[in-house]
Amino acid sequence: MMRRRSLARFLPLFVLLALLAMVLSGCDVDTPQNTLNPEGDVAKKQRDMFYLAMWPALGIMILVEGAIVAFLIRFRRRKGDGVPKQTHGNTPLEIVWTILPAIFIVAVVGIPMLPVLFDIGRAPKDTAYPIIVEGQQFTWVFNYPEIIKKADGKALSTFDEIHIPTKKEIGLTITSIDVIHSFGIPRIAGTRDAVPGQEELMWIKVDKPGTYHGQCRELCGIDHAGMLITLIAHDQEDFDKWAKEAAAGVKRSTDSGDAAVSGGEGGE
Amino acid sequence: MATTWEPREQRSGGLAGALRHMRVVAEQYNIWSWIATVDHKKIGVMYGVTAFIFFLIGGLEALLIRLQLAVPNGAALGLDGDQYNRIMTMHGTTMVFMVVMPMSAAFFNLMVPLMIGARDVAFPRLNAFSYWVFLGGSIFMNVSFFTGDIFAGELGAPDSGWFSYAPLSSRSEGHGVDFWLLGLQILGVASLASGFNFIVTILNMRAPGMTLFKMPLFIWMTLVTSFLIIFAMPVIAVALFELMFDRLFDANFFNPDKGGAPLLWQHMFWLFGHPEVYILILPAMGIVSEVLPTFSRKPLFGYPFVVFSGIAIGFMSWGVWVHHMYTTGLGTVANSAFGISTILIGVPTGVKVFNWMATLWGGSISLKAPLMFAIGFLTMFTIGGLSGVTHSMVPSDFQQQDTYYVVAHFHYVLFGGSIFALFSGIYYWFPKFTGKLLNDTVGQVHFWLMFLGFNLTFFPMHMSGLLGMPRRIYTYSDNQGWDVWNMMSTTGAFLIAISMLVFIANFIISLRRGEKSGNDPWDGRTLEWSIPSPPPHYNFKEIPQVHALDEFWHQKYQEDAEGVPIPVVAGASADEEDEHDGHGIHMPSPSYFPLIAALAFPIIATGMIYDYALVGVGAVILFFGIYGWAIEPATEGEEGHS
Repeated sequence: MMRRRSLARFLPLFVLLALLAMVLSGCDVDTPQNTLNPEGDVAKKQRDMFYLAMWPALGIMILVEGAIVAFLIRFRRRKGDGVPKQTHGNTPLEIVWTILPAIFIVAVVGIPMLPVLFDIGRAPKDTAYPIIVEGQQFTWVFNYPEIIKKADGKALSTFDEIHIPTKKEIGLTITSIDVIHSFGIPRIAGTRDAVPGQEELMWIKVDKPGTYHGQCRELCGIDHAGMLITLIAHDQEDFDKWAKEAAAGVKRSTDSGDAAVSGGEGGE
Repeated sequence: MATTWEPREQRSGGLAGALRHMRVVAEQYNIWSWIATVDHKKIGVMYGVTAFIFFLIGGLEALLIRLQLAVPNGAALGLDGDQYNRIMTMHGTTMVFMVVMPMSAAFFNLMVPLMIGARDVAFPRLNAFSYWVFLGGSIFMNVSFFTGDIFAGELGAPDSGWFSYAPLSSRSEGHGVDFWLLGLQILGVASLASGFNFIVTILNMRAPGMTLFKMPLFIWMTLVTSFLIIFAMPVIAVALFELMFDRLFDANFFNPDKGGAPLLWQHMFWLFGHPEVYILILPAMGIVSEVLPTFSRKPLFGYPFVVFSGIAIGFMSWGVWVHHMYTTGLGTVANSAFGISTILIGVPTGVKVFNWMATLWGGSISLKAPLMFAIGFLTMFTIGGLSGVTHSMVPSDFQQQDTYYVVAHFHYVLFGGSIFALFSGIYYWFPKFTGKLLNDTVGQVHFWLMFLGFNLTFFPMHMSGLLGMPRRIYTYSDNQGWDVWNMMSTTGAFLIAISMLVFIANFIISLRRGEKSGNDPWDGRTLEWSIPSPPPHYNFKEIPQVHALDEFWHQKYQEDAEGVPIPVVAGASADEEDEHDGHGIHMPSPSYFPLIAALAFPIIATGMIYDYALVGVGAVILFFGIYGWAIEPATEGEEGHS
């Protein structure tokens, strides 16, 4: 009876575990900005890194929380308990639990992180397809130096919608013309800040054609929430066709509905 | 608590005479005993009550945020982006600077002299000054709400987030950000003054025999926190001055168009901001390190390790600020170095968790409300620490940066950590200052409601974050898969609100009709339990001689060779009921000059925004306050006590 009541005390903890189970079941659901359902090379590496840290963390969490609850039940004060033995510490034990976690965490998380970081953080290759990403309140402007408009001989720009070829490394140059924004398309690659006066290089690569979604991640003012990004990945043939039509000023209805390909007027 | 003053010798001067007259009038209503007090206990109570009121204000802002995000498209509340940004900014700023910091300061004030066997802090008037400056700065910043046309739905509060990244902040229109930066500047003065005060108090005013390594752990954490405050606050002060120059005098520190560097702000903000995180958590760790041993009836396991890991955290907190800036493009080398240092700062924190667990092991654990809240801290802080490890990894963080995953993480650390520990401290030390116990059954209800509400609010945020929901958005569409998690969070937030009502009811009813606690209700270990509850004005009739860590415990129990405690036959000296009128104990006199000097700051700040003439008025008041302070005698002879 006594035992059951003290277990009932910790019922909310079991509710917590149930919550946790719900969370884990939600990992690979098909939502537009799911960081754990990647299609891009960069996002896949990032997801692997996350799991590399998350699983040990989850294990430690269950061990530690479980131990705390077990201690509370086992050592709870009962009627007639005397004062327990006064243990002041155990230096060898404490040295062990200082050094071991330090080694463990550097070995499991710290070291494996470095090669991935240097890979994700490297500059795009020379052969990468260049696109310039420009944040401004509250629009994304994408400039394509390799697509020259027939009308005025200037580079093509699109707004809020970025078109890329698949199976090819894309070299993004990210900047801003006003305040700090942050460019991220979770299923393709994690976010990178668009800082005014600064040009950030970043590479992405997508293998599967499709439409991917992202939005500004850094508070940039009143309509921060409305600064959405649509990334459309075409296979090479389709991309070339799109580029040709866009350069000629042909408007083409796109997956997101409202066409954002700029013709003559917005390209400046 | 009526305090009587001998009429002072008449001095010349109409203003001084008028003030003296005001003093006599206020005295009749006992107001003056609070307004002019320099007693650390009264100042501590004022700090605590004020911080709690701001906790309710910040909590209200949180409820608005949660209502707005409860369903897609902001349909539940219908705030616009501008209103949302201002409310969100004030929520963060309030909770950090007007709740957790001053609530910790309340405990410093209440507990430090009692735990080190002193009659007051080193600089009692400076202490009062800290409080009044804090109050003035907090009110000043919140007044900003009303500088907009609020009936038209325009709030005037700052809108650039609690971090106010330039150039968004330096270009923000209206006066909101001016209120923010000047208000923070004022709060920084208060923090600096109290930081110095507690360092000097702890280093100089310990009872004879209390060496540094016989100090209670809470005192150690107060000391480390105070050092962090005095080194971190100047950094933000410089950053705020630069922002002020950009905004008010057209300077270009952060203006990229004129060669300024937006990232300079971030470096300075987070160089302050990361030690600040530990300023918020170390006092909580100190409280838990007192509560766990007392309620397990065992000493803290590995006291030196806990002390040194606290100091290590203090030092390391200066070397991790770039983890707030992984995505700003500092380069992979910088990111790797700070990634590793961030991973390593988890180690001393982990050591503390292990030591706290070992303190529980083999104890006789009383599951009273103070312990439950301390366990809430221990379990929730652990989750926050572990989720911190997952985004200390730079590549992984690129995905989680500025998503709700980070919001979940730091609420587990700051709410699950700091706030739970602060409530533990309230339940633990309430009897010391009121002579009454907070009702434990209601306390348990409060704990479980808050614990469930907290997890229901913040655990789903891990999920919405991993599903890519960015922070600081005021609306989202219904096809993102975030709906269910946000609805859970909102439900949880209201559960937390209900738990607060339970706490307030418990507090008020227990204050009036609570069970009498006696001097030592928990079989305490430290000096504060050796004196009456509530403590007399002068705290200790005689300054105690300290022989050991956990001095009061050792007055009550001896240990045999195996560490088994044997009660001392004579019993504790706790129940000294003999009437002592404090005759012959000289305490610092009440003074109104700290309040006058503090009053100058909001006036000067208002002048900076609206009319420089007010700056002059403020300067005169400041001069008058400090001048009067300087020539006023510190002690005023004999005083009555009650």
